[in-house]
Amino acid sequence: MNDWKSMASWRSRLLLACMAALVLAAGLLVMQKESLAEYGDVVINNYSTDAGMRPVVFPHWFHRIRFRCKVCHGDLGFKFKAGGNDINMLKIFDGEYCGACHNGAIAWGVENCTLCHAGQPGMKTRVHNSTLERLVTPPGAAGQQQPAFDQNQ
Amino acid sequence: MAKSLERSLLARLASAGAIVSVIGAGLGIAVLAQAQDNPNAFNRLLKRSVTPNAAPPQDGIHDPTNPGTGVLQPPSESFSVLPPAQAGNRIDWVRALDDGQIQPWADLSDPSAEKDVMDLDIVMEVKGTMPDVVYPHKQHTEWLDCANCHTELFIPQRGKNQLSMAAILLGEQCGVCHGKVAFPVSDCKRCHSRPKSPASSGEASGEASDEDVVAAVTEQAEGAEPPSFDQLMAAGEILYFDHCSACHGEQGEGFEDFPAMVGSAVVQGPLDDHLQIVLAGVADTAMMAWGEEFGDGEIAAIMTFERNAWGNGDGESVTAEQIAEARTRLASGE
Repeated sequence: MNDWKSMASWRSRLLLACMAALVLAAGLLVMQKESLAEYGDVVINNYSTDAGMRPVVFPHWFHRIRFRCKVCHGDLGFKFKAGGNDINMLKIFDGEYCGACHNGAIAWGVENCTLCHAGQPGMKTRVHNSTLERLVTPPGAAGQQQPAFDQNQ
Repeated sequence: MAKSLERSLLARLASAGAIVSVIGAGLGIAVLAQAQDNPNAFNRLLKRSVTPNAAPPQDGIHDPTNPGTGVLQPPSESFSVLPPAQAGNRIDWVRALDDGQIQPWADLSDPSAEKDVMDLDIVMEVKGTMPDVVYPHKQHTEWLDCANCHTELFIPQRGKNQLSMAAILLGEQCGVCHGKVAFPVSDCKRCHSRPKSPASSGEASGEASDEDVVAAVTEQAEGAEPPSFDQLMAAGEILYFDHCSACHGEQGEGFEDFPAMVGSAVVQGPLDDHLQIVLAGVADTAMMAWGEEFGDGEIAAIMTFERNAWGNGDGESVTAEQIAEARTRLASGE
């Protein structure tokens, strides 16, 4: 009977070990993959990290369902360049840039910090899954002009 | 006894399961190791998202420990009701808009505001064997304003923009959007859509074709009667519709910054001023020098139409001779 008990506990330990191995394997798999970020997701980290906040993740897909490009990229003055708009919270409070909608009237208000500041800490400004990012040989590798975004996270 | 048997059976099952999972995990790691170490691994450099449209906590850029991350909508939930595509978000956004599956606002202060749309295809001939590019203003102006592209990215004049795929790949020109948010350049044929030297389609019908109507004012036999006012108007309407209406409106109503023809001071003013603009264009605007595109007969027809349609004018023809004279004057710099 004692034998059986020790066997059972040995087996449960083995089971645990296996589970740990599986988790490890899954983790490795995830690490192997490219970022799965949605096409057009923009990480903006002009000031966030310095201010002790997570960087902002802007999902283009969600916004283009609700607005034509021209509303933000014309009427609100957003330039076509990740990180190229000098946005800060003061401007947003004043109704500029994101604040034109994220004011509690058209979209949820600025008090919901973690809905925008949701990026992994320290990530740099970039457009995710862009064609440029998927090039195997990044421009600049052979001493050409550096592209406008940072290759590394 | 039965209980202990049951237990030992369960234990055996558990241990069997455990062994299988060990082997599975081992294999997984082995495969991964192989993928990393094997110098001849298949698709060594291919970057591909294994599962598209991942939910924010799993997408590799959102912080799963951030309290807001779990509240954000997973793209797959939203995309389940939208038409699929092969690349980018794997959504055909143009179709989604055309079919009314999405109704994005065109104006922040007026959700019901209609978007001004301009329907003008620009065909760009391409070197090499790739099909020529057809750039549709329509699909672009559904989303964008003229000022988004003109004149910072593109000079609004045919032949004035030297496009290159290299620049586009680097995020310039079309690549400002295509490759970042609009469909990526891997969808070659969505732009390179017109095969080289298309066979002209001959339409057989009882009525005079557009070509015949236009030919009546352009191909004058020696010593023949000059085309009548009605012939000029008929040809002018066809040419105006094909070449002018995209900017100046099908009913001459104009479009955004493009001037209307109805009640226009130029069209109703002195013929020479009108001739100057049509033949030589207007510097730094999209109004091109149509004198370089068309012969005297076509210009005469277009101008007769513009000066007499929609209540403009009083039935006076502009003649091919007047156009020829004006050309000579312009060439001599007067």
